[in-house]
This record gives sequence, C-alpha cells and structure tokens, in this order.
Amino acid sequence: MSSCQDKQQPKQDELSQQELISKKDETPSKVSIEFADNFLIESIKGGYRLELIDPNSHEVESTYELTYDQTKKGENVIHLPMKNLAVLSQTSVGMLSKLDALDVITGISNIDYVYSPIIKERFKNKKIRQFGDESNVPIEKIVESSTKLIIYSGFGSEFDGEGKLRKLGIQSIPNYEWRETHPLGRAEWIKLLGILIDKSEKAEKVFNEIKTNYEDLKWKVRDLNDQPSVISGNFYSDQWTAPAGESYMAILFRDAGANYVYESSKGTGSIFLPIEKVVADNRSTQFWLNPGVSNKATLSEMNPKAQFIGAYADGIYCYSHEMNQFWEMSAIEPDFLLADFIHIFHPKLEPNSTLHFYKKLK
Amino acid sequence: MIALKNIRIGYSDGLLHAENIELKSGTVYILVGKNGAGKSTFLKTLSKQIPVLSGEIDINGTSIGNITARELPKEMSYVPVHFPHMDYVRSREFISAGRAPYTNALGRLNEIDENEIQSAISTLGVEHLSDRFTSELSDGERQLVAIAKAVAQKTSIILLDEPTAFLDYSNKKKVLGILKQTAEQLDKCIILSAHDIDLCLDFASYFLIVDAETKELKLLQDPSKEEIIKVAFD
Amino acid sequence: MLLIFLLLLPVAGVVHFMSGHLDIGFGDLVNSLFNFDETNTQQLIAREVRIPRMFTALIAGAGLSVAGLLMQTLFNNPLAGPYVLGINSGASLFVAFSIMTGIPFLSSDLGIITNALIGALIFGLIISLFSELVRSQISLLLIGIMLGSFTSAIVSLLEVSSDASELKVFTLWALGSLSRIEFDQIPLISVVFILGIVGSLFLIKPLNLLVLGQNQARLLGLNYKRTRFVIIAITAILTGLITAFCGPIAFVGLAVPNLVRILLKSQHHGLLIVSSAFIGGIFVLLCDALIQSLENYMVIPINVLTSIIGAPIVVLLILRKLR
Repeated sequence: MSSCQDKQQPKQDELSQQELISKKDETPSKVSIEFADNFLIESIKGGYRLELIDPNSHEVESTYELTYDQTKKGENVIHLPMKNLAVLSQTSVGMLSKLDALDVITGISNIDYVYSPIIKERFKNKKIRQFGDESNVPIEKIVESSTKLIIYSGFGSEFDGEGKLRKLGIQSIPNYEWRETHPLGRAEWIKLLGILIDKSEKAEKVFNEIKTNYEDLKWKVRDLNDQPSVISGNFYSDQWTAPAGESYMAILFRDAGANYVYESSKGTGSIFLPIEKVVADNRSTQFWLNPGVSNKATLSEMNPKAQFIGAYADGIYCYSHEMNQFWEMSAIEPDFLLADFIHIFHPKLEPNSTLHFYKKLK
Repeated sequence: MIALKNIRIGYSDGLLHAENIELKSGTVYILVGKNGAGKSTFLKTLSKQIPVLSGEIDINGTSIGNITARELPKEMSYVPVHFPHMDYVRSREFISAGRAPYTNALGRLNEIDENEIQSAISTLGVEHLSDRFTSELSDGERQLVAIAKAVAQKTSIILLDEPTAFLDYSNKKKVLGILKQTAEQLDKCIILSAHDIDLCLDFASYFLIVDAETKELKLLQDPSKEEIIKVAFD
Repeated sequence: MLLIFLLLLPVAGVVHFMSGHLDIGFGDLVNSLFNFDETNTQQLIAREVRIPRMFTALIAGAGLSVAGLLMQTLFNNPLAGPYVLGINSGASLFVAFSIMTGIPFLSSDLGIITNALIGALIFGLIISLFSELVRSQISLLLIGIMLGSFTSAIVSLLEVSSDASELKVFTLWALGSLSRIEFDQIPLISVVFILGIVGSLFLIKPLNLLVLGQNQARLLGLNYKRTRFVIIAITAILTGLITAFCGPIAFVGLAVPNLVRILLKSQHHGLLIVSSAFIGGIFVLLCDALIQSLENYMVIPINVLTSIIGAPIVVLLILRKLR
C-alpha cells in the first residue's frame, strides 16, 4: 500500500531535518485573530493548538494539535508542515493560490468549478485528482493519492468516512470560513492554511495587505451623503431569500456606502420575505445585487415579478464576470469585492476603475 | 331472429361449433354445458365481444359483422355474470344506463326514455329498489335490477350469463319466472346459461346444449333431464 | 349542494385576497382592474401579484381535481390521479428537456406549456396502454409510480449534465409556485383551462357509462378506445397546463374527487365535474391563503401543504375501502 510507504519515508523538501528539530522545541510567535469568529490559534511548544468554534453555538467544537514534533501521536494531532492536501472547499483553493502554494494540493472536489489556471494545468497533468464534495468522499482514491489532510466545507458534522480516514492516518479539518460574518473574518482563514503548510509569515503579510486595502476603501465612502438603496437575493419559489441585516453581505453593503433595504433585520444568515412585501418595499430601490443569474432573460423566466423591482431597468449586478473566480477568490479578496461594490454604488468616486467579480445584467 | 349458420367459435383453436340453428322471439333458451364447454364464449360471440371464427351469425336478417357497435345495443342486451361494483349508483340510474344507445351525445333522457325506464321497473317489480344504491342490494335484488336495465334497453334479444348463479332457490325461481314472462309478453328472444337443469325444465322448453363429446351446439325441444345430462355431461 | 359551493367559492376568494401581506382595499382591487395606475403600489400588487395568484390557485385546484376525476373514472380506480399515474411526471420530464436543452423556443413560456401538454399526453397514452395489459387496479398504480420514479431518475441525469442557470430555472420550477402566472397571461390560460373543463362536460355520458365497467360500457355502444383517447387528451390539457405554470402539485387530483363523491353520494358526472372543479378551487385557494398568512413565520411550498392535507385523506379513503 502506497500510504504505508509514505509513512516510512516522510517527505521533507523545503524544510531541512535540522530546522524541523529546532522547530519542534520552539514556541512559535503568537498568531492573533482579529476578525474571524470560528477558529482560534494558540502557540504552544513545538507548534500550535487549533480550536474550531461551532458557528451556531459559539462553543469549541474540536481541538487539534498542530506540531512539528513528528513523534507525537494522538487522534487530533496534525504533523507540520503539512503536504498533500485534498482541498474540497473552493475558497481554500483560492487562499492557497494567494500563498503560491497550489503544489500542495493532491485533490479538489470538481474541476468544473475551478478558476485557477494552475490547478487546471495540474489536473490535466494528473497531479491533481477530483474527489467530489464531502457528501461522498472516495476513501480508497484519497488513500491512493497519498493525501495527508482534507480541508472541506464544514456543515457542523463529520462527513461519512471521516473516522475511517483518521484511522488510516488522514486528518480532516472542516472549513467554517463561509460562516464568518465579517468579510475580513473570511479572509483571515488564510492564516490557518499558512500555518498548516509552513507559510505563516506569508499568510500574515497577505492578510495585512487585504486588511489595509479594505479599510482604505471603507474610509473613502465613510462620509458620502448619497447612500443608494440596495436589495440582494432573489425569489425562490414564492419567497424572496435575502441576506439578514448582520450578515456578510449586509456588512459589505454598509462598508461600501449603500443603504441595504433589510439592514435592520436580525441574524447573520438569510431571511425569507413574501413576494408582496418585497415588491412593495423595493419599487424605487436603486440597485439589486446577487440575483444568482447572469442575464435578464433567465431572470424574468425564473421570476416574472422581477420587473417590479426598481432596479430592474438599469441596476442589477451579479458576480457573473466569471462565476468560478467569484466562488474561489471572493473570500480571500474582500478588498476587490468591496471595490466592486463601491464602483457600482458610487461610480463617480473612481471613474477609471473596472469591475472585478461583478457584471451588470443585460 | 337469430340464425347460426355453420359457425365455429372460441379463441384461436375453436371451442365449439354449430350447424344451422334458428332461434325465435318470444322464447327462452337455456344454454347448458360442462364447465369450460364454451357457454360464456358463445354468449360473448353472439354479443360481438369475440369474433366468429368461421360461419355467420345473423340477427334479424343482418350478419352481426355488419351491425355497428352503436347499433348492436339496440338489438341485443347482455347481462354479465357479475354485477359491477359501484359506489353511489342508485338502481334507477343503473337501469337508465340501458337507454344509453338511444340518447344523444350529452346523455339527456327524454320522455320516451323515462317511460321505458318506468315500464322496465314495473315489469321487474323493482319500484321499491329504485332509489337505493346498487351496492346495498342483495344478490337477488341486483339480478332483477340488471334484468330491468336489459329490458329498458328495449332489445329484441337478451343474453344472460348465469343469471341464477348466486341466487337462493326462491330467487332462482323468481328470476326464471320473470324472464319467461318477459320473453312471452314482450316477444323477446332470451338466451341464458344455467346449471340448474331441474329448475329450468319447469320454465323453458328449448335447450341449447353443448355436446360434451363432439363439441357441437345442439338445439333440443322439451328434452328430458336424462337426455340433457347424456348429451352435455357424458 | 351546488348552491353551497357557489357561495363558498367567493368566500374562499375573499379569504385568499385578505391573507396577503399588504393591506389592500377593495377600491384598489377594482381600480387595479379597470383603472390601473402603475405608480400606485397597492394597485400594482393587487393586479400583478395577488389577482394572478388567486387565479392560479383557482384553476390549479379546479383543473387537477377534474383531471383526477377523469382518471379515476376511466381506470375505474378511486386511487388514480394525474400525479399517481405519472402524468405529471410526463409533463415534468418534457419541461425538464425544454428548459435544460437551452433551446430558446423550448424554454419560452409557450414552449414550456406545449412541452408539458405533449409530455402529459404521451405519458397518459403509455399508462392507458399498460391498462390494457394489466388486470389489477393496484398493478396499474404501481406502474404509474414506476413511471414517476423512472422519470425523476432521467430528470436527475439531465440535471447533472445541464449548466447552472438552466438548472436553477428547472429547480425553481420543480418546487412549484402559484406566483409564476402574470396578469397578461390570464386570458390565454383561461382559454386553455375552459377548453379542458368544457371538453370534460362533453364526456358526461361516456363517463357515466364507464362507471358500469369498461365492458358494460362497450356493450351499451361506447366507443371505448376513442373515449379513452379523448379523456386522456383532456386530462393532459388540464394537467399539462397547470404543471407548466405551477410545477407538480400532489394529492389535489386524488383527494378532491373522492371527497366530492362521498359528499354528494353520486356518480353522475355532470354533478361530479362541476363540484370537483368548485371544491378543488376552494381547497387550493384556502391552502394558499393559509400559506400566505403563515408567510412571516415559515415558508411552505404549495405542493408540501397539499400533500400534508391530501395524504391523510387518501389513507382514510383506503381504510374506508378495506373496511
């Protein structure tokens, strides 16, 4: 079995044996988490303690020890530096590409949803495989690929086969980045990936740049008096599904200097509104974002009532510039996302800027 | 009335045959034969539910092959062995269905239809049943209602597949009596299959018997019980 | 009894109208029809949201109930219905094809209606062919259920191979909705609907005869094959039309005609058709009124509510039959 062979001869490409020995006795410098709510990292001797927080209960869901000490054994011990990651969450792929570390990826969920040309190339050269999403993980294929760690989108429970994989020496970490409510909180998950692949410093650097950009942009619109109204979401069946007032989208709208119509609604997830209310509330709303479709023909086919929203004539935008790019990169590029929103809501502010993720519906 | 001309009937292999037989109006014919001898098949062939294999059946001078499915119900009515299972159909409504061959596309009953229905009800003496659901009737009552429907259909020929099968002795007698009376008074040709030879001998003088050996359908007038048994069952 | 239905229908209509989210006065309703002012939000909502929704609930309930009645009588089986027999599935399959092939004509409104009608008709004919091959009523229902499963498998295959936006349109359609119909479409849809209902009224005589069983009906001069085709065509028109706009709605077609027969204790199809149409319309109107009044607390698709109410009714019917 290939996995046994790997165990006997651990690969150590960039880190020399000596560095590893010294790292296992040091306590690394402190990693501060400013915006993310769903994980905590504490520096301990030989590595870090990672605590994942359940996004619903806000309690610690699981604790991992990330350590350079290769002799340490235990259920939740992950040996650093980690190579060979199966990355089933698209946003984590985007973060790894920001770290220039796509070569650690052994597998992804589905090549059709990939934006990165490097991944596509590596897939073509059979260096990366498709494993599907966490609902149906092919255990034997993963073992065969000498994957050591699986990063997947966490929904609050283990995926089928997670325990079996652990017994085979393959760890899994759920990614709750998508449950973060602050845009910078999402991006901050890059710090965890940085630690896992021994690129902690680079991760800090990337994050700080994003943060600076984001806050500069936010500062620019802070004092604008003209705050256009915006609605987000679409009719699904007989209800309008929209982001709640304390959600990620709502925060982005506020930071971009717009007045989100349902800003005062409670919660960080979605709200559901009757068609009549949405039509009545939004007859003169100026912008409509994220209808989830890329052209008006499909939109009116899905929802004949769409035409009664004020923004229908000339104010609908969706992340349809390139969908895969949006899903892969938007979590780690909240500064671009914010720039897009400011471009949409305040076109006069930066007349020469262009849209990055978003596109106007025609 | 009905003329059988050298027919062979049944499904592909041919179950029974008959040479030339004439059946007259105003008469009850009892169809007798072993189980599986082809009594039902014969009745179904007469009512055009199954085609004749060879030969010809004439009804009132016309070959049944030339009578359309719309016209046949005006010449001949058929009472199947089982009364249909139906919820919420009142006897009178069921009897009214006998007028279907005469009503227009919307099925509206005119005065003539209403009169025929009423007279069928009184012929069978089922006035007291006419407002009851057929699903609530006894087997004997159902048989009378079924015959009333056939009478309302006002055909010169009535075929009945074992009308006495599920009846008790007194109801058998009653039904056979009514059929005889109907045939004579309304000048109809009635053919019914039955196993109650003793009883039938009291009511009818004409017997159509399937010969157990030769599979030939024979018409006997006033046969003795022994004669019937010899031909049909030995 | 008919008089009661006649009175109940406007009551259900008013209840439905009043269960909407916004307060809309009677005046706005009248104005929205005869003196429409597009800038008035109340009028806009009355005309473009509430009236079409009420209309849709009404024709969906009435049409499916009549279609169910026709199937039950044709197959002499009280548990038959367009949903159980897979006629809905036929419409769904063809709509799935039309949406997911991405051919513009096919995915237009007219394309979807046409495909739903054709799909319903083809599956209706398939089920009637099977009805000649199988003797037992249960077998036919099982075949209908198999047709349904088979179709949903094919639809899943189509889903896998279609692109995201087409898939989204189809998924939404399959959820079912009473809000798809637009005010301007009401006349066209009314014409098709009335065609179906009037057509079924011309079938009163054959339907009454079919109650006696197929064989008796034939012996009374019924042209069975032609009648069967016409019944299936009308069922396909009604089911296809409603499925095209509302998505699949379960149990209305099955439960309502049975309820009507029990209430009226009759098999006279003139009465049954009219009553099924009324009760079906009232039933779906009230279901949707309930959905609208719960909208602030929870989201219930119409298909879910009709199943929650309809399925127990059907179980009771079966128990009643077995007793």
